[in-house]
Amino acid sequence: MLILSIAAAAGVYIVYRDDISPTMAEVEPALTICKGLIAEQWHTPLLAGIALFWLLTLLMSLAILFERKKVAELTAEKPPVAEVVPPARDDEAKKQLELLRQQLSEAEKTMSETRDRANQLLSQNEDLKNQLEKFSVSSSEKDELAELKSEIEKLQSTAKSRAEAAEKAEAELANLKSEQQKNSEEFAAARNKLEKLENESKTARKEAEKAASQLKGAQNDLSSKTEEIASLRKQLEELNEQLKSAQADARGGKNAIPPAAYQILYMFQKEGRLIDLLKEDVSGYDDETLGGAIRPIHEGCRKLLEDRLILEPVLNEEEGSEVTLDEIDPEAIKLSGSVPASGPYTGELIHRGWRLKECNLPELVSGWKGNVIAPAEIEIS
Amino acid sequence: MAKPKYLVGIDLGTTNIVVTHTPISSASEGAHPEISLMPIVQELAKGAIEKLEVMPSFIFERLKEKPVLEWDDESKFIIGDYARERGADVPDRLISSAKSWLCNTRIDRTQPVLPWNSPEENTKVSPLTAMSMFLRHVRHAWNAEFGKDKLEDQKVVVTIPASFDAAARDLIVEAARMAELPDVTLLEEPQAAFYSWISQGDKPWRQQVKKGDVVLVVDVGGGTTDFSLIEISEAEGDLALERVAVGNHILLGGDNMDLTLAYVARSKLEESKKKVTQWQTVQLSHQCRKAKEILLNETDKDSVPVVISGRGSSVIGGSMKTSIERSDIEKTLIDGFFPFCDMNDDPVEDTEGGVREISLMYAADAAITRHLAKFLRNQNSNDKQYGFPQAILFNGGVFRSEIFRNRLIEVINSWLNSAGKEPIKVLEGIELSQAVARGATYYGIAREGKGIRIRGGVSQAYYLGIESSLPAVPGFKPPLKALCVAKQGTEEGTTKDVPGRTFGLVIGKTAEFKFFKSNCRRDDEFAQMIDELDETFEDTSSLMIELPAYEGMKAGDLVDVGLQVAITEIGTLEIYCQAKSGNHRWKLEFNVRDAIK
Repeated sequence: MLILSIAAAAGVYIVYRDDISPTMAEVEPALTICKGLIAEQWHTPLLAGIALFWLLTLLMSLAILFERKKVAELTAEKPPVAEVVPPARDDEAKKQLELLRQQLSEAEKTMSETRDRANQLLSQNEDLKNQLEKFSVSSSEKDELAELKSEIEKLQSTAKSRAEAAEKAEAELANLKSEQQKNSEEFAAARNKLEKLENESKTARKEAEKAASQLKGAQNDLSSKTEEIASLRKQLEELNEQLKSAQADARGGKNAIPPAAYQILYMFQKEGRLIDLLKEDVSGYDDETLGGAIRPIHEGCRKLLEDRLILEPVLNEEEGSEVTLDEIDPEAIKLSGSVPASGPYTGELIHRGWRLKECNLPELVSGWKGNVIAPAEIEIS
Repeated sequence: MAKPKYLVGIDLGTTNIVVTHTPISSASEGAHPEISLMPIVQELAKGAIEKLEVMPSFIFERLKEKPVLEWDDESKFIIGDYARERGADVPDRLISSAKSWLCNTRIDRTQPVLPWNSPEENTKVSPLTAMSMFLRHVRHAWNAEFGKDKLEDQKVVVTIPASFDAAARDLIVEAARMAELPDVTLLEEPQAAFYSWISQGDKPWRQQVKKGDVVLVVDVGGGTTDFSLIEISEAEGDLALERVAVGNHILLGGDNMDLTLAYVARSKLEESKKKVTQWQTVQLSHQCRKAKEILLNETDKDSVPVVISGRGSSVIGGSMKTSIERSDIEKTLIDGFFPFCDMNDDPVEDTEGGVREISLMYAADAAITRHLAKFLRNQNSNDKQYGFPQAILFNGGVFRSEIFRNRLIEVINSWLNSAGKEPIKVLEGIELSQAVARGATYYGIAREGKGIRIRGGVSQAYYLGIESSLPAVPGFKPPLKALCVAKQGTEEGTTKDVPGRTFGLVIGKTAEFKFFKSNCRRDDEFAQMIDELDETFEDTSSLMIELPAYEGMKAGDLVDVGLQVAITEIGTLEIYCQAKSGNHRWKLEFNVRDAIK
């Protein structure tokens, strides 16, 4: 009963205290007890209060009574002491008296303290009584309580819906959290990528810088090379000049191949296929084939001798006739047989000889290039 | 501009170009001036150059050959002898017969189309540009030879086929301008040949012809055949010359003969199971030409062997042999090109119906005699019998052969005989392959007033197409009438207003006139209106004009104009629109861009 009373009191105290605002969830158990008490045993705290009151009053009465008995006993023992005490023993008695007096004041002190305490307890009791009265007043307002209850219920349902909402919110929060986690994962991945890219760009930049420096180096090289080339070109020009003069020399020289040699071979091949004829093994062909095939070759080569390498006989007399010459140019006339020491020379004309009367070769603008006299031919179909 | 020192004649032939000249001072020396040939320097194989009397009219787009002529440093093209030689090996890069393309009205002659049908990656040039390239080469060659007396400062005559119409003549002048020869005079080739005959001193021309004679000039060149008629008349007590008719452009010439013979030889070889490549056909063509010349000149020979060497270095092993017989020459050349025919015969028309690929309009009929019959027949009218000439002048390399000359004379005489006329007289004394170039220079002398001049004027009559004003009838096109704006023979240096005709032209809009020509309507008078266009009229490039705004007039305004026709001194025809109020006039331009359907 006492425990219940205390608990109830505590519950009421907590419920009605304004300065404490616990959450609904926290007060729920206490509230339940309180509710139970209020709903079913609302009379119990009253009984408990009354019981406590009586108990405390009893205890206090007992304590007061007990203290009073002690003082009375001390006061009753005093006369015998005075009688017994010899004059000699006056001092001693005085001392004892003094001690007693001290004891008395102490006792009085204790008593006043006890009284104070009792008063205190009384006032406390009074307080409690007031509170109880107050409580009984409020409990008498049962309707208000019902209202309160419904309000509480409302609050509860609100709390419940809120709890549900909270739950929902929690679930959403959880969702959001998972999403966020996902996002954060993605974000992390993106960040990684970015970092990677940054790294890459860094390396690229480094490479570009490297390339730029290389380019610069190359440009420097180039400019130096250009200078070199310029000087080389100069040298080349000089060499060309030397070559030209050397060529000019060589043309006169006995071992040089004059361009006209190429040109004449080229023309005999081009116009008459003469080189092909002379280079071909003709032993396998019968005379008819050979004779027929030679016709265009003869024609082409003959035309060259008509147009470009124009020949005339050294002597115009008929071959086989007798000729007489006073003087001879050994370059133009070859004497054979029994030749006298000096002219006039008379004999039979064996061969009229040939001299190159005219040479109409096309003008080569910059000499004969290379040593090809008939190019290889490829036909693309 | 330096004072001109020379008179220069350029024979701008379809297959060959020849240049002659004489100092202007020699023009005063009388009728037989010294006319010299200018050898034209050309590029040859192996980086060689040579001056040759004739420059073949061929352009070849270089492969790897380095230019060797100093003015050709950057040129992508080889011009002349080596171009022809390389073109035989690489035909896709060869431009030939550019002059014939210049008068082909089925193409835009200012667009790069040559070489015709060549692969896209090849560089192409327009017929106009090709002609200017030849003239430019001639100018450079001349300037290299004559130094400070630059060709652009000399008096230059350029020859053209008599059949060239007004638009083609304009294009030649334009080509010369592009070649930086701003002042050239045009001369028809048959006339040039005639001048050449006049200038020769062996037998004075006045003794060979008499007043009233009509001379037929037959010019069979490498690729074209041209006819003209020149009448000998009298003026101020002396003989006078007048070119009275010209023929149509016939793409038929000596090259066709060589090719024909080559195909004969080729079919003979193929009969004996031998394969002849395209390249070998070219060689065969050369061989056949030689064989032809031997057979034509040496009448005792009946057969000439033709051998083509093997292409590889085995010149004997790969050779092929056949022969050209006298009968081949007679059958394919004489009877093929100069068959006997009646004067009423027409050339066989192309029987290919429907779509025909655009190309050079080669003559469908190789019979020169039939083309001639048609030409002469058309020149006979009631009062003039130009179709029965008294004399003939041959020109062109083909007629170096007596056989062809004789056959043609025989044929013409058969016509004259059946008409009861005297046999034709042959005028002799010209050098056949240089006559045109020499005659061009002589014409220069004549223009200086130092020699007789052929009065030629406009070679054909020209007509403006005018729609009849009739009430509109759906589905019926108002018939076209023809207004004669140039009478055949109108002389150079004449300017005339066409009377009684006013046209309303809208400023800012292009007006186009249909334009016709005729070479056989000699009786039509200037400004005469002909109501019906029959087959004697021929379509030619239309005329266009766009009037610019002037004197406060603005686009959309109507201006009344009359027509003015000028035959220029250099031989071109110009037609102007003359504003009825004020002194403004505008030239009508030939529309050479749109093909004639």
